[in-house]
Amino acid sequence: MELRVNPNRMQLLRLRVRLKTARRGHKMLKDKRDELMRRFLDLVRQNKELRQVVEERLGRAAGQLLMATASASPAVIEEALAFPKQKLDLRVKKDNIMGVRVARFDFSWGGAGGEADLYPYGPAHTPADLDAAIKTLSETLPDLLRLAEIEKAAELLAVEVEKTRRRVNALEYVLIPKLEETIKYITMKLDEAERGNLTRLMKIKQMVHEAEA
Amino acid sequence: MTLADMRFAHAVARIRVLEQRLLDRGRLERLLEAADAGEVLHLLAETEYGAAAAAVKGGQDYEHALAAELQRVYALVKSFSPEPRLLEAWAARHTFHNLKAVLKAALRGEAAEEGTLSPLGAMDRGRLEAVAAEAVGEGAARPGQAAAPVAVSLPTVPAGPPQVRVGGTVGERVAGPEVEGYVTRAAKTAVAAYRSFGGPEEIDQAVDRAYQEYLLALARVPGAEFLRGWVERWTDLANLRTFLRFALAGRDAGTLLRALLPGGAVPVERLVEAYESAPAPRARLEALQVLAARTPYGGLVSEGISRFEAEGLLHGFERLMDLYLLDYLRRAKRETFGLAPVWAYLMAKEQEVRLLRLILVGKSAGLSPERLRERMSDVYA
Repeated sequence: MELRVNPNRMQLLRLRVRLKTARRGHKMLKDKRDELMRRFLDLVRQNKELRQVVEERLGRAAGQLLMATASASPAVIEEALAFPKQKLDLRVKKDNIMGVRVARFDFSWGGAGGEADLYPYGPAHTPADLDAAIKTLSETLPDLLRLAEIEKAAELLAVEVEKTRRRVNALEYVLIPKLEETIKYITMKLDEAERGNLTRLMKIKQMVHEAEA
Repeated sequence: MTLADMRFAHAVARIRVLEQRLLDRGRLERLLEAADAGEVLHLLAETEYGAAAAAVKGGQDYEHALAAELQRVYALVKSFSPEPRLLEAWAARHTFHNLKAVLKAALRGEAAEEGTLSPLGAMDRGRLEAVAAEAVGEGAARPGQAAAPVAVSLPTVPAGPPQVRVGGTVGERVAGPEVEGYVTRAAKTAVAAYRSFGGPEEIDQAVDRAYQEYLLALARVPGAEFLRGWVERWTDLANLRTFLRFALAGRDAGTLLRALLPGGAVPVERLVEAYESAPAPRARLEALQVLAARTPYGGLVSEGISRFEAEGLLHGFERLMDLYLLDYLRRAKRETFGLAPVWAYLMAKEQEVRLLRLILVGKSAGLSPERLRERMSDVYA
């Protein structure tokens, strides 16, 4: 169904401009959607790989922590971990992926003694499995933050892909056909008016000739 | 045998009865083969743990049951022991543990969480918090003023038995060292160590050293030779394990020196020397093997390190530690008088609770009996 406009030349010109803009917009949005999809699939691939690594490490850490809690009373484990030693400095920056603002985590962490400075408890009454769990968890933390970054970016990109896809479809299947139809309608109306004018002029001319004769 | 040992005759007779109620290997095997933690508790209902197991409502509640059983046994043994002061070493470990928890909380300006405290400590929470608050307040720097440097004591064996009055004749009780004095000093030293070196592990290490000094003072009391032997072996094994853990974590010799405990047969200086002689973790393990070869722990260290190389974890070493200490405790079975059977029974009960915790945690997590068996040491009985 065409748009409800007056079928005049001014509207025709306006609609032609709108159609041109819509076609250009459609092409750009299609390009954007394709690029978003490419980036999205790239993120999904990274996410899958990283998630496998993180889940494997978290599983290992959970096992080690479980064995630590089995070797010592919960009070010993909770007291050992009650006063964390490492400090995490996390800054959230914003990145722009095809107009989508995604979070990027810049972080630094550690204690004065570097990697060896992980353990906030004394060794005499704590099980050695606790060291292994802490080490595994500390090795996982950078990947865990990167995973959070990627998953959130993928989620935002998915929303944007969906939005862009809907816009492309709206342009492709609704707005552009409607504009084309309306332009065609106005053109036909104008052509018909033109033909009517021509016929009228020819009739007038004929009548003038007949009167002169 | 001294006259003082004779006073344990009644206590030892009662201990022999209690020993019969300890879980044996057969029962432990049945527990291992149980389908889940619920079935383990059901099987425990037939044992000394019956009352405690019946009170378990579900979830992690079995931890309270195990603590309640330990508390019951400690109170019972203390009630018939002629020298209850000598047995306070057992409860003192929990008191010092609670001190660590309240000190850490006080330094963070918070109250200690209930979960970090052991119900088996001998000093109540309010008293410990007062001690911690005093220690934290004492050395605190005023705004704009740096904290005064405090000397931090490093592992040494105390020169004499302070606060120990020695008894030994029939009818006279041995007055061992007062826990509270050690706790107060430990709090101050721990806060000073934390402020000097900056890590929360310094609190644990300083408190552990204070506990060790208390244990050594107690172990010097005549009649406590068995306890002395146990403290010496436990200290050596704890230090060897600390050496391994620090070597694997790549920590420096200075931090190792602060973490090692005094009072073992292997001097702390020799351990640090061996640690400093090799820069890489692998070389440090070899240096430890060389050092341990000249001590009674040579075989244990070699086997522990080979198990670590095979499994990548130190639980094999810890299992060997438990077995070594159990072997020592079993000597008490041959003693008819004295503190040895009483102390050995308390430690055996604690070991039993550790095994039960392993089984209950393992069953709750769905671990196989084989996996649990790998980690289990042995029973005293």
